[in-house]
Amino acid sequence: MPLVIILYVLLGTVVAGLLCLIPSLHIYNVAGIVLLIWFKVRDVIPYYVIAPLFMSMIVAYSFLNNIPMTFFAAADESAGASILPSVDMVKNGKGRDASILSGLGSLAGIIILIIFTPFFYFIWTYVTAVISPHLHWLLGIIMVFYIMSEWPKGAGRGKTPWEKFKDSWRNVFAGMVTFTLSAIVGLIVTTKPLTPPELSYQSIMPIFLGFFAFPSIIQTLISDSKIPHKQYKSKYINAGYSDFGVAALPGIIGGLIASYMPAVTAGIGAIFASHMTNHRNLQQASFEKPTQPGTVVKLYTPEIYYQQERVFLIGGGVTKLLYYVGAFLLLFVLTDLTPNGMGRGGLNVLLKPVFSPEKGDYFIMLATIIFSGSISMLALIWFTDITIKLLPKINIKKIYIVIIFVLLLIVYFMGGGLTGIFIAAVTTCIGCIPVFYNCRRSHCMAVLLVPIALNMAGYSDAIARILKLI
Amino acid sequence: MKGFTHFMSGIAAATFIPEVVRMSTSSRLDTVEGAASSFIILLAGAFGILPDTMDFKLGQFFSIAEYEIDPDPRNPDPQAMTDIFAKAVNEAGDTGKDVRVQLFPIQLGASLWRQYNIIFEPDEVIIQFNEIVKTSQVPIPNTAPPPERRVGRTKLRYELKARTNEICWMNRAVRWLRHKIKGEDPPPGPVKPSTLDILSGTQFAFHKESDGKIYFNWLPWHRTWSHSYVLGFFLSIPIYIIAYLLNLHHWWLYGLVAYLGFFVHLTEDMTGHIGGALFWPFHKPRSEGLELFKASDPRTNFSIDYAAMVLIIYNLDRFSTKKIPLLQTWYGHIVFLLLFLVIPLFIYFKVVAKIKEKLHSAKKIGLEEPDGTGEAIVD
Repeated sequence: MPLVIILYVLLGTVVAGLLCLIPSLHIYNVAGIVLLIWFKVRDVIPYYVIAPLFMSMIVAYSFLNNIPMTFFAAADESAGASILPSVDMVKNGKGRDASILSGLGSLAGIIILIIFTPFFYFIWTYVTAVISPHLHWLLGIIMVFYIMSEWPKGAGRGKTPWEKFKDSWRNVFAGMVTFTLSAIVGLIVTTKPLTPPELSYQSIMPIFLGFFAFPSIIQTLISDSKIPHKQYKSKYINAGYSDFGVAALPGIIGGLIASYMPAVTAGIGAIFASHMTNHRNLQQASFEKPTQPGTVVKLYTPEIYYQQERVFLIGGGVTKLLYYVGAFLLLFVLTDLTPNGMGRGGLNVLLKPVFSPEKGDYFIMLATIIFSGSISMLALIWFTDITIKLLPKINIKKIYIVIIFVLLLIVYFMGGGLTGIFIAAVTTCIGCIPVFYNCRRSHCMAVLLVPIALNMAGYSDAIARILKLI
Repeated sequence: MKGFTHFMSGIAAATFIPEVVRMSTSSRLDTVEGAASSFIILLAGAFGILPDTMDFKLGQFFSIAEYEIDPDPRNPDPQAMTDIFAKAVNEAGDTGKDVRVQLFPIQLGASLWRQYNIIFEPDEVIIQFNEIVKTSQVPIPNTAPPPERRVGRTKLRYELKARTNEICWMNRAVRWLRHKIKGEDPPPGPVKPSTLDILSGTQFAFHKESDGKIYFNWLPWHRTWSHSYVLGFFLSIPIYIIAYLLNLHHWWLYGLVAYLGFFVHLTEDMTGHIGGALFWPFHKPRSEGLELFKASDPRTNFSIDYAAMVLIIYNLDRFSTKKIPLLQTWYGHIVFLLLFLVIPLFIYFKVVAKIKEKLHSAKKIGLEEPDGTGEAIVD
């Protein structure tokens, strides 16, 4: 049996690793297809490999997705403004560093998961037991802060208050519109499911492809910027122990929030963690004696500012691993307080109808994560080097056009046919608002956050009646 | 304090009201019909962040400056900038009227900005352009303008000062309390230099005082009318009315919780360098703060955020779920707070102290590097 599990873990790692190199293809789409295949051949694939197989897939995704995210994300002007260091690093020929640092963050995330095992069993179980009857308002505070903390990005130019207001509020207003429209879509699709019941486990897929995948592709297709072919290969890991130390705290906080709170993504968790920690301010720029002729002062930029690039990438890797892998691992923390585990996330939703965790599975899953994570890290280094070699030969726009057709086929066959295509088209329009108006893309998560919070509080029927959905 | 800290503190404060926690419990542990599943706690968070929201998303646009300094990104002229600045200061001195000047950032690309400093000598204002910086405020080496286009300086006819002499009864009270806590203020130094680089600009107001000097007021629109206990009370009135009209159980708690969030924000802000116009519109001047912490200090903010989280869990369990065995005995409460609040924060401060020590030693290395990049980390 152990050998069979190892083989399937290897299979899951390789399959997911290769497929996740395709830009815009999410692991949950791949997992949905694998689940569909398993339904057909369930006599051939043993039941006990299901969880390790899917776990290895999500581990591989957490690592290898860094490659398309680093090299093929639309690196145009508006993406640059979102201050993603990886975009900047690729532009400066340091894409390899960005990809590997993110991967190392995920590797650090695995170590954190191992160290946190007693915490998950003896403290986190109590935390979840205490807060679970309060999740509706906890989700509410996430939404309220998320909306209220989007500050105006414009400089406020204008002669009158109204002109200044207009100049500043573009992104804030766009964020609020995106949030509201996404919430309405969420209320509609949760009240009146538009996909057929037999495909209910994939009902959310067209919505998410519309909100996130298609707008990213559109952004890349219309973007003028090109991936710089010249990328440098560093001899060493360009980070110190202190970078990992500083990144661990926001990474863990963001990861724990995202892994437990339903519909809260790694991005949202990371925003909360950055607001909470913000250790860059430990040392601020200071005025020193001038060092250059003709100047009055030298503004000293502290080392911690430069460190932020590394901290962001490593912390992001930690958060991402805790969000995807940790959320699934928590399903296997079975205690008297949590008889059904504490798992969250898309994979839990997908597997719930076909799989139930048992006591003792936790350590098998932990071993799976270590094994798959080690292979994935090596694969990340290898595939990053291959990607860099292929960069001059790749026409990313042509690849994205092919991906559009692949995703449309997935939506058509697994997401409810023409209805699914229609839903994806509507959500693509909404998902394009953040792309063009430079507000947070995670506002689209209101599609789940609002219905879940209202449902948990017992208001979903009342809201559906107000919206005349029932 | 940072917005998130106010937000979390407001929520934590609301959870100290047992009825609020019980109303917010969705598993219907509360037996009062209709009392479960309330979102009442959101009001504490929303009102906790509201004063700054009103300032930065609304109030600042109503503060129209008499002079604007908006340099041309293609050809910024530091001399022209200091000339306008000095004109504003001199006008305030000559006329005795308050004059405001608005400075804008110089954006060169989606994520590229020209950084500049405003430096104040006793009789002079100087603007110096630095390197181009990314939105992360990290400078790009060798991008400073040539020396002849880098610095502008203009003489001022009036001396600037950072502390006002014209203090009201509220400021006197705050100063008295500050002196009791911290001892006497150090002698007032010169106006500190400012840096302007990314996203938004800044505004200064100049006010001539009886000693003939000009009081230099940074962000004159911040923490004024929006940071008033009185305004908070008036803003909570619609909440009481709406809750009453919706026939909500314990309707009076909704307004109270909203006001609590607002109150906590203003009180926390008083620990910083700028206080607030606490009794606007009855008493309009903005007070000084107790100057105990810098609003951006990560240690203060993180420790309050963490404490708020622990206290929220503590209160939720005490008043609703009752799942934590430690909290079943009276001494358990002490052990809980010691284990999960005091000891972790003690460890945190120890670790941060080590990081700070390391940062200070790193600074010396940084100064030796002309481009400020420190130790080379790439090939």
